[in-house]
Amino acid sequence: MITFSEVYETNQMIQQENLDVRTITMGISLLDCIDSSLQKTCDNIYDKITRLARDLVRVGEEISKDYGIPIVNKRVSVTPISLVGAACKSPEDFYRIAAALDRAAKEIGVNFLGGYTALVQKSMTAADRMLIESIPAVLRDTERVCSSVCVGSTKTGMDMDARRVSRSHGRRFRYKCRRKWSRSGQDRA
Amino acid sequence: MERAIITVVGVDKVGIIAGVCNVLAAHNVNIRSISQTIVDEYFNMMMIVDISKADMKAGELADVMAGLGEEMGLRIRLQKSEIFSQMHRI
Repeated sequence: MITFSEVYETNQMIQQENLDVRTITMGISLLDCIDSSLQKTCDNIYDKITRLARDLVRVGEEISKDYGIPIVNKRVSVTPISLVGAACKSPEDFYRIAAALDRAAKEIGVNFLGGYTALVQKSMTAADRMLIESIPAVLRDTERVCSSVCVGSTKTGMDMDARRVSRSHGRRFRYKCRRKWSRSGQDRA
Repeated sequence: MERAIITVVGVDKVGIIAGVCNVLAAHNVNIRSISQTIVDEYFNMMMIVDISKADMKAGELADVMAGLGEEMGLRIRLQKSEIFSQMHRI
């Protein structure tokens, strides 16, 4: 039987010590969204995410109310897009996939959508490189898409070529952000 | 059985238990256990209730109890019991 002191202790943790559920995440495979047409692939991605995750935010809020604990973020995580877009011909193609991801994330109301990712710890494919090159523009123009590049692991070591490419595009991203913020009057250089 | 824990904290006054119990009865919530203490002028109560036959979901009941608490000048929380058993039991 739960005791009064245990109830009090738990609620103290929530109220006074800011205990919360930081994120709930729904993982969605996008492998079955792949199509020979890029537009169809984007449509399939948007449709699948909005179909499977349409109740994620609502259910998260219900769970939060049921148990009296905040759930701070609701997130969707997808198959690494470097795999889903392996047939893309240019960074702009990957950008279109990212735009579809962002539209889907806004439609379902999640805080983040993760998975705009290249896994290059064992060297880059041409598609991986194109995704990495698209990252600065994607992060500049989308609101909820999260991106990452895995350049190393304990098992495989680190791919230094991938690291060099990632770093140079990271600098481009910071430059593009400064230009964007300068134009908007928010100079953060 | 679907259990929930209701905690009531606030300045002691006449009618707290009656007020809470009337609302629970109106929503077909069965009270399984009550424990309360009054320290100085502060009233603390914990109730274990069965909400399996309630006419609304736990989250909605939580809102009703919170609203009742505001009317009565108390803090009333309803939470499903699993959060406490998961924290304190293996």
